[in-house]
Amino acid sequence: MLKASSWMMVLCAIALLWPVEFGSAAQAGDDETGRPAQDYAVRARRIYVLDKVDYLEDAWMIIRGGKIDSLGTGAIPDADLPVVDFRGASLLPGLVSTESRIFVGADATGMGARYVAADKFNPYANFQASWRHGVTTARLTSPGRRFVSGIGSVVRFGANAEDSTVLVRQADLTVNFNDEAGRGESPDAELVTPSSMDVPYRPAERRRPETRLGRILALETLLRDVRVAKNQDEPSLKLLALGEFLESGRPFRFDAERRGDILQALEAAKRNGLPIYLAGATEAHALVDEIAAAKISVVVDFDNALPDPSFNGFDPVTPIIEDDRTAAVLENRGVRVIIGGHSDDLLMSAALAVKGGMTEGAALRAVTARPADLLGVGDRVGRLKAGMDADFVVINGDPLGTSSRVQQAWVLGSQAWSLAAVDKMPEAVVVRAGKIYDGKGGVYLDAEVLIEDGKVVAVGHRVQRPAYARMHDAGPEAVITPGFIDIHSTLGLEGDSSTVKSDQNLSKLFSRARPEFAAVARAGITTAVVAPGKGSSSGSPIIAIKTQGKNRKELISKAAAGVKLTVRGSGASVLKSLESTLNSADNYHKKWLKYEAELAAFEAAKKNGKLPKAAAPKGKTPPKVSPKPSAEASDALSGTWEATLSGGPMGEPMKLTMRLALEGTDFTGTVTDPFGGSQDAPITGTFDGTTFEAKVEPEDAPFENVRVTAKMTEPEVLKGSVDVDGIFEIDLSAKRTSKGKPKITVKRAVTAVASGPKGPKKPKYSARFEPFRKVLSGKAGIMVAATGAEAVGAVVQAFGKRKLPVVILGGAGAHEVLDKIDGNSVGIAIWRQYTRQDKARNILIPDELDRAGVSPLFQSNGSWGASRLPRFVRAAVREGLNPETALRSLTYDAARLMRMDDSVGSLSRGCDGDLLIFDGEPFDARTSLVEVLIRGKEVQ
Amino acid sequence: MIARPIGSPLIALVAALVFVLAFASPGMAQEKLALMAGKVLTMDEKDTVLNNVIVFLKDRKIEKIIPQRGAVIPADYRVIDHRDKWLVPGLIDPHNHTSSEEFGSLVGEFGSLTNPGLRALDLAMPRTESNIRSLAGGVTTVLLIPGSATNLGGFGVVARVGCSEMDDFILKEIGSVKIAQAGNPERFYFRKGRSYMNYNLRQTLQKAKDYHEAWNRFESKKSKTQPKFDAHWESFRGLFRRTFPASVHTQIYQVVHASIAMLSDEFGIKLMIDHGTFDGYKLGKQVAERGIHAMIGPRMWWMDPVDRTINGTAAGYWKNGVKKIGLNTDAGVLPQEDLPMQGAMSVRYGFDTYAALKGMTYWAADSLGLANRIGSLQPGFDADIVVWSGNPIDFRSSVDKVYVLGSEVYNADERRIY
Repeated sequence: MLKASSWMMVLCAIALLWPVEFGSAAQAGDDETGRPAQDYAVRARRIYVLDKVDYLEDAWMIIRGGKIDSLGTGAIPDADLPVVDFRGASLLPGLVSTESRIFVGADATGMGARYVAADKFNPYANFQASWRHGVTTARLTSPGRRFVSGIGSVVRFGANAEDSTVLVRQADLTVNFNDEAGRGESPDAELVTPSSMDVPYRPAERRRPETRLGRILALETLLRDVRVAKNQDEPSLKLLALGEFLESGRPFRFDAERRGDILQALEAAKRNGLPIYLAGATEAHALVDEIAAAKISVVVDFDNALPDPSFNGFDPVTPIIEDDRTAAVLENRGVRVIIGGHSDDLLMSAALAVKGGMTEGAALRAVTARPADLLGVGDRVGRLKAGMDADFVVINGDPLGTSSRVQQAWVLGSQAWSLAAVDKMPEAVVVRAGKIYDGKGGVYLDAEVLIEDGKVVAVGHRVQRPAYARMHDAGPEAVITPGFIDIHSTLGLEGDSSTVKSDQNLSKLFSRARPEFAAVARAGITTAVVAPGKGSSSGSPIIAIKTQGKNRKELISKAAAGVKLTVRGSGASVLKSLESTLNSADNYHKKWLKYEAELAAFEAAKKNGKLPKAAAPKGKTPPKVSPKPSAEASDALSGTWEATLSGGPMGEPMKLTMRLALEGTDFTGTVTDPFGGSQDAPITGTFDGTTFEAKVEPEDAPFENVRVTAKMTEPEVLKGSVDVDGIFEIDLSAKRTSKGKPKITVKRAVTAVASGPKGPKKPKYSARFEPFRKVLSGKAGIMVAATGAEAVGAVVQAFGKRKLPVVILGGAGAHEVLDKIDGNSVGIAIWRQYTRQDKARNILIPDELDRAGVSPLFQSNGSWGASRLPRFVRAAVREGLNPETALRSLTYDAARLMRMDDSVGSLSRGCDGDLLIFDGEPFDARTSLVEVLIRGKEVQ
Repeated sequence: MIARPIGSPLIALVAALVFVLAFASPGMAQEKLALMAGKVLTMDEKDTVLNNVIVFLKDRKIEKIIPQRGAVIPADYRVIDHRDKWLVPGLIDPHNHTSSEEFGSLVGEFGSLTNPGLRALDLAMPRTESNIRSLAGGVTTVLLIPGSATNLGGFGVVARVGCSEMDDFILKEIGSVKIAQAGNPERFYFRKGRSYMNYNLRQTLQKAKDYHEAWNRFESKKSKTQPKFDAHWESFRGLFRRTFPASVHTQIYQVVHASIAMLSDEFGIKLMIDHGTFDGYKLGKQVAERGIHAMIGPRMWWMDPVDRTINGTAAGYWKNGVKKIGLNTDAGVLPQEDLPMQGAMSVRYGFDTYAALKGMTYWAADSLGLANRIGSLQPGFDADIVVWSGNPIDFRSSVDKVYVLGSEVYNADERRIY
């Protein structure tokens, strides 16, 4: 056998060669920076220009050389430009933050006027914390809580260091009028310790004046010093910097939170003739008249960060009064309001401002155009209009929606950041429609469904919208249903009408969707339960496949979906045959149930240490000898067999030797390693005179399940196949070279395992009944092709007795035994004929079944012809079938009866994201099926 | 004592009278003892060892030592026969941080890099647990010093650990000035390096020296201006008079060299190499030439990374010609009662047995300027005597009794601590 390591190498090689699929984040990026090599256009559901109008619907924007060239709606005028289509998303100008918290921290002593925030800007830093909130331009704060705490600068967070530049070096000068006492920071600077103790300690320097008197004095002293410094030969750096700033005409930023401090700040500005704007003015709502009269801008902060519920505020006696209406009240009095917050999540702040009464347009401008104007960069960023820098962010929905997320940030026309690319997020889409049928009978109006990594995560009127989720708005007229299930199909089995036995693995036949599957998929059938055309009385395997999929994993929905039986004859003979099969299967199932129960008890006892302790293993176990050599034995199997393996993946035939000893119908033995290894593998199995079924257990091989099935077509000859893990099959032919029970010795010494008390003995594996075991344990479905009232009655009786759900294929004549059918566990999959004549009356069979409480199911019994199945159902609806029954039959009922409802048939959490988007009611003749998603992916 | 001018002789006289009346000296009424012993290690300059002698104790001091044969013991002496046991001077640990309940502030008071003016005296405390245990190890005197987190931690105090009264406990108010070079202050203090520390220490010492010289000029009437009293520098005067040493935590070749150059050669300070380990012993010749004391421990060996040999540090100084070698514990790094074990370990790594004993007694006393009072058993010396069952640095020997200032302070027959 091949050694595990060489197999691993093969697997690794395959993994490396597998084509890597890149996420959509790189769709427009032609170089490392994500900047398209040439000019391009973007499209989006909405572009918030925030200029004369708030936004353009269904709009485009052309970007040339990192700047906005033009915008419009409808067709893009230059059809040759590459287009980045953001589909349902909204584009917003990159947000402008008036107080970015990145690069905080600086020296904490003294007056900080000489500090210029630009000096701490690092263009190589990671700006993710800002981008994820949509902030692409920010004013860097001057450090600390000092009284005069330095000059703020405006910077851009670009896609690369080259684009990350300082836009304005001296934007404003911060003066902090707040009373910072009691805010967890000592007003005193650090004590300076002299290096020798004889040098006296000096009392700590105060960081800032702590009274209003002191603040006014400090400010006016400073302004006086600046004036005086003009005449000095060598003024201090601080005064020099301040003088330079005063001459620039840029505003002072007065931070004042309480009404008293705000009033003081306004007074100080007026008396000294300083241009100012107010920031952090929480209680500004109490001073609207004064602020309006001063004709200044105000930055209003909102509590947009994760709050700490255990924090009780700074001052319980005179708390600071927060009011979400502050921004709106100021706005209404003509004050220019800019929105800030305790974090960079400015959109959250803007939404809170809207709650307080601001219009959405004003709120959005208050985080884009207005702060840009305030900081002196309004001619470059903050609006989306021709000539401006192409700084914009992509939001999956309403920009102010709490569930919406910033997905991408583009700066100077380059994609600076994409959440999906950064965080390797799952592929996700939120589909919205006017109506969603969940398949189980639930209907949601104006609803959404979130699909992540191909699975339904949520469905409802509004669902969460992870930042990585694409938004797909199908419009208010659209109707969403689960993907349809063809409950009996031969898709993929074309040309093969032979009987397939239940022990054969159909999944080998499916590796990827064939071209003809697409027609079926586009018709809305997302899952096909595929069964061999010709059934057998002993049972044929069933597989469920998707109608789209690039590989086996994607294509196969459920490899062992169940069993198909075909019954013929009178009621009695059908019943007898069914009883016989089901009884045998039941016995087999019970043996396994018993074994599993015993095993569980054994494991539990072992875990609790209740088993008697066995002797510790001693190194290697002695070679296994089985059975004991017998002097005389002459049966058809015992002896030495020389076998040849060929076909399948084998380049050339290989030889191996089997040494077998038969005892009744069971045999044991050894198999030599066909790859030339010295270790023999044990073989065990059954032989009934003709059929040879065996299991080989090679050590150190990458296979788990090696099964040999062969027939003794003539004496001394076995012909059959070897199945390796259900992956490939190898032909086997063997000839007996010597008779008699050999002395069988497994030459390799098996590494000793703790030889504790042995667990219960495993029942013998039966390939034939294994699928039935899945059915009986509720893990797979069963369908029975039966025609005629007697046969249908027999089926109903046999399965009803066992309380097993069953799908009856065809089921002509079922109407005669309708009263005996339990609609909860029997579905009748009609085929071709959906009407029958009862005397002169034309009866619609599915309707008749429905009224009797039996699920009418729909099968194509065909391959690509299945694309006509939905039209067939539509016809039934036209004839009078309840459309909701029709939908349920094609979705949830089909899945439920085939025991597949954990993965298909409804839009329940955890089910596959298979859904159909119609532009109206599903079975209305005027309606078209607009789009089909299989596992969250659009069918092309 | 701080040489502070006394205001008025009259006040002093009254104070002295009050003192005498209030506390009639307990020493006056002390029981006189005659200790008979099989062997007395006097540890005097002549290395005298006496067998079968009687040691007479009177007025807290050793009165005389005479042979037993033909001796007449006056009736007012209580005779205590120690048979064949050894009488040895109480051991002295010259590097100790524990004889105080303020251990934390002693080792960790990080005022500045150099802390002139801080005194361990202000923290010393008799009757502590560690003092009592100390006796059980035969250690009667310790130099209690500030820790090594700063470059100059302050002044150490010599404490007689067996005493329960503060007046007896404080043997010498200013026992040394504690200097810690490199190593610890580098790690603990403001990330200053050696060159800065040496610069800063030199500045501090220069200020102290200037103060001392200004007073000298005034006292020798060369100057009429009386300098202003300054608590930072006052205690340094004894250092420059060489009445007590600088106990310098210095152990690495380069650091020891720098310490000798600055403190001994430049400032003329009496130096005690303290906590002496690592490869400082390679400077033994220079140390010996200058008569510097080397106190070794707590680590008794150093592995030479070049020739990959393990070297005894005490043995290293010894072989390089240094005679004035003592041993220390750095208690609570090691408990001070383990000082005899330090002796044993030093011998284990190549030191001389008698030299180890002499180091823990005579040389330690000599280093502290107390060799005329303690550290050896001579008439007129303080009666601090330990009764051993045998050689103190033999692991098998035990301390059976301790006399401090002529009184029995520990008796293993009553309660053996260990």
